[in-house]
Amino acid sequence: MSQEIDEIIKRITSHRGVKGAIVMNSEGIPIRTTLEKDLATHYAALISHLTHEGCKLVNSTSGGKDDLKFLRIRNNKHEIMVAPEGKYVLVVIQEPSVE
Amino acid sequence: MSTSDVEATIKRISSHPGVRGLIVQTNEGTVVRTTFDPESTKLYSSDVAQFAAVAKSAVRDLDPINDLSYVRVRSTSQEIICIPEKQYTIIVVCDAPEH
Repeated sequence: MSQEIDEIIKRITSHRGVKGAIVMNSEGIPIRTTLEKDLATHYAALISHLTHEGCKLVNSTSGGKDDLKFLRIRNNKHEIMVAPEGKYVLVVIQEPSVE
Repeated sequence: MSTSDVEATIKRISSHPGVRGLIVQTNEGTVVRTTFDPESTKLYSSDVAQFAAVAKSAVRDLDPINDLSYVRVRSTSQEIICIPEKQYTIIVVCDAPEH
């Protein structure tokens, strides 16, 4: 199982433009990361809070019927993609491809 | 951009298949244009703007030079896209794309 996770992370991070990936638990603690530890912890803490806010937004706008599936935050330098799934959250940071 | 251009753009976006509605509001939260009913406008306007503010501060926290371009929140049945610009914020709500 652990090997499978590593392979998936390897596949994602070998994509062109992908700066890094983080797998974090529901408390915002990174359990797997390809970034350096301090940066990953910083990202994880902020994204964890943002994911929580996203869940609240989805809940309030759907009357409690919907769940948060995906979050995409684009800034000037890169794009952060967040996929919460059960107890874990996958975060991928990539430089948007030049069109 | 003239008023008719603005109206034409709003019409073009909101007539896109899957688009449920669109809100243009000032950064203080005053709704300038909306294609939603008043109740939905009120709901999306405040909640999405609040979420975008959290996202913006998270982005700034990670890198003070960086700024939020847009944020997309996908849930089970819908997708909310929020684009903060200098003077206005655009919020588009559409059906969640099928994979």
